[in-house]
Amino acid sequence: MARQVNNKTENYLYFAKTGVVVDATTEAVMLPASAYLGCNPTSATNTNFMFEDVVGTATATVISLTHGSGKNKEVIDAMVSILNSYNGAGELIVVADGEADTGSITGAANKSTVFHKAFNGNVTACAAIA
Amino acid sequence: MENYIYFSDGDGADATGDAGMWAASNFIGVSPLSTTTTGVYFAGQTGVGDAPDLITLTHADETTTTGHHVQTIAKALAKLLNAGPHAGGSTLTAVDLTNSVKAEGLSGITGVAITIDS
Repeated sequence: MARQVNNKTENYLYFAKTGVVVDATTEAVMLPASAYLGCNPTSATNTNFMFEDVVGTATATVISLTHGSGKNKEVIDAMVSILNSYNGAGELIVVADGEADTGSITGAANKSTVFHKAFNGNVTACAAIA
Repeated sequence: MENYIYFSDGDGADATGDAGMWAASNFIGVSPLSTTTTGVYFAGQTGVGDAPDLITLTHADETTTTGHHVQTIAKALAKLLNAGPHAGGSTLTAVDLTNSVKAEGLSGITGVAITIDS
């Protein structure tokens, strides 16, 4: 399970699901970049990114990101740049935070969604964390 | 050098589940457990292939205002796990309720529960 290379900073990534009041493991996660396993497009508007499970089981944690049609490769390229980004301060990297009051939920009224600038606006939601 | 992270509940570090120290390299992840609790996972300390250790942190319910406290905890732990290089080699206290010590960003933690082999 040891992933971090001693004496080097690790990138820690944050994801939160869109359209829910966050209060469960399937709704927000922080994961080390070194836990990344792989990705695959599931449709023209969705790409899944897999990480070693956040609660330590053998089944991967799957982050589903919704994006512009046909932008799968752009989103994958952006994720690579995020995974490999220099993070000298060692701070948390918010990749896709969909937690906000959408009108359809009552929650997180005082915050807005955040999607990493590397996505260039292509990612519009964190559809699922499973 | 490696960073080592320490957690303790508030009734003394004198029994299994009262306290623990984990290597930063064994950090697995963080996720919310309920509106007022967040789980921090490390690779299990009792042997290869065992279940992860779970540290359950209790905090205020902020889900209707600023959002779940999990992101605040994640930010604080990212800095702690990456602390250094001067921090390398010493114990880094995340939350020690027995001695009223909390790392930057973790002042809102009011409870610690440690489950070995969760």
